Amino acid sequence: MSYQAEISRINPTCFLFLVDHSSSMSYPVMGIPSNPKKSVFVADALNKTIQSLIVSASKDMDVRRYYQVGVIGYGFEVESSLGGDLKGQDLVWIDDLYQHPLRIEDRLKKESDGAGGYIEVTMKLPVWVDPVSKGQTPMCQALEHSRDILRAWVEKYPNSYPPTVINLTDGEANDGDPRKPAAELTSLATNDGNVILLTVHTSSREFDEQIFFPDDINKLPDHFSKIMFELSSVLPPAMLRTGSELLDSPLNENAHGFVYNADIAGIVQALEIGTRPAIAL
Amino acid sequence: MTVPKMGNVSSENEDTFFTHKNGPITKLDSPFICAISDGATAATFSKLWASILVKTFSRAIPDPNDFQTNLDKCQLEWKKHFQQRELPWHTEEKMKMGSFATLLWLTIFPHETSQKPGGRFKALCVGDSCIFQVRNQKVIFCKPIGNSADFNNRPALIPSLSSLNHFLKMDSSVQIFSNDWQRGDQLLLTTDALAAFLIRKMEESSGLVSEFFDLLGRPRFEGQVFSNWVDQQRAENTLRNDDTSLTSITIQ
Repeated sequence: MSYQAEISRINPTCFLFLVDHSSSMSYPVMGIPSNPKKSVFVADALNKTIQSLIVSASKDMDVRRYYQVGVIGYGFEVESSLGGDLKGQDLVWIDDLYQHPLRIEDRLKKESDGAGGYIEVTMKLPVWVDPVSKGQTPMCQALEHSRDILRAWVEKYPNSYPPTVINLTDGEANDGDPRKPAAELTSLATNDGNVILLTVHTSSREFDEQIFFPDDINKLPDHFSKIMFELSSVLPPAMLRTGSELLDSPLNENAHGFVYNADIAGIVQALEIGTRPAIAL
Repeated sequence: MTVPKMGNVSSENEDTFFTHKNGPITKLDSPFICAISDGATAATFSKLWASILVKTFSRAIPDPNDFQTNLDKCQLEWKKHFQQRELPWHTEEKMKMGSFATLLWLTIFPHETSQKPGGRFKALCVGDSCIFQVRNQKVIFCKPIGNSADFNNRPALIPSLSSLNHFLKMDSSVQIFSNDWQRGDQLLLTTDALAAFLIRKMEESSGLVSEFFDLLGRPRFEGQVFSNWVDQQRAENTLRNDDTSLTSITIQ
């Protein structure tokens, strides 16, 4: 049975986020001027995802070392996006992420007042990554770098739930065909299964059709989206279940880990589905 | 007897047993009450929650009509425990999701009349902690789960927050069972890993069940022997790696 390994301190898992830092990420999500920039929204969603991973590893007063997390930005350079005390580290234990945010921001959030209305409360939001939009889209290099990082990881943790790589991008690779490095990346495996590669493509136009976890390449509109479909992993059973629950629509067995033209909610949902094996720990 | 999940230390073991009786019981002249609970691994402070449940519930005889009152007391105590306590933000966030645990709440009643050779016992169960009644090395009663396929990762669980009480469906989640006991009977209370092992091996008519009861009947079967046995079964992949607990009550 694959993708069934229990995540524990003996057998931790790994989440590696690849973030497109190309210049086009400075445009608003879905091309709607009032929406945040794609880079800003993706960084925000990623910070919240890291926060959720920390909470899921929280046990009593501690954060247990259930996972290692990396954030690789690709644009002007291909390198870890973590800063401060974590600068230059490709993979970081989840308790170290908890200990070393770049800063903690105050954000206003609406909460129910219990009487049918809402009140604004100040929430603390730790920040680990900042938005960047500078350069091209060297996706092949990012996938090759991920392969190198995770090759060592799967050797070290052969009995673990395999690493999940989530690639957040808004465009085409301009350094070659990403299918080859993606295939090399997803050929890496632990005894529990191959590395999982999910692709979240953020929308650039208001009326683009959002396609969630397609199961048939012919349902995709163009060459670019077909390439992204091909390089993304088939969703393992637990992600299929989570995806079906969250989207309130059954996903087929051949569903690929690919969201095309994701809007704001789509990006958040895709990140949640990709990291749920940990959240449900 | 309890052994933590491999990779965890004893203080991280979230299985709990409790009885208000102290020391050996030489004569069963009043109901003997005890409870076991298995705190959910995924939740936070599960050991504390399991401990509050067993201490509160084992004060009285199991009665489904008292379940909600006892649960209210437990949830109040949980709340008090964290009042004015400074917590790291990850703990505060996790606390909003509540803690969860199973409960097996047992009472053994004394003889009803001097003519009757035994008495009755009654158990209230939420979740997959199990009670086995063993007579002459054979299991004659096993509740609330009777089939190994029914063990899964979604047992009924008792929440620490009243706002989550809707997860606990009183009609189906809270079950009550009773049976007669005779002198010489053993009642085994186990958390799910050991219960699943025993039920699966019974289904397979495996010799491991009688081996286990043989071992249990030996005069020096205690902590370390149990721990070695658990390690051996885990190494052979016959016992799931989880906190593993056994309370054995022999009625003489």
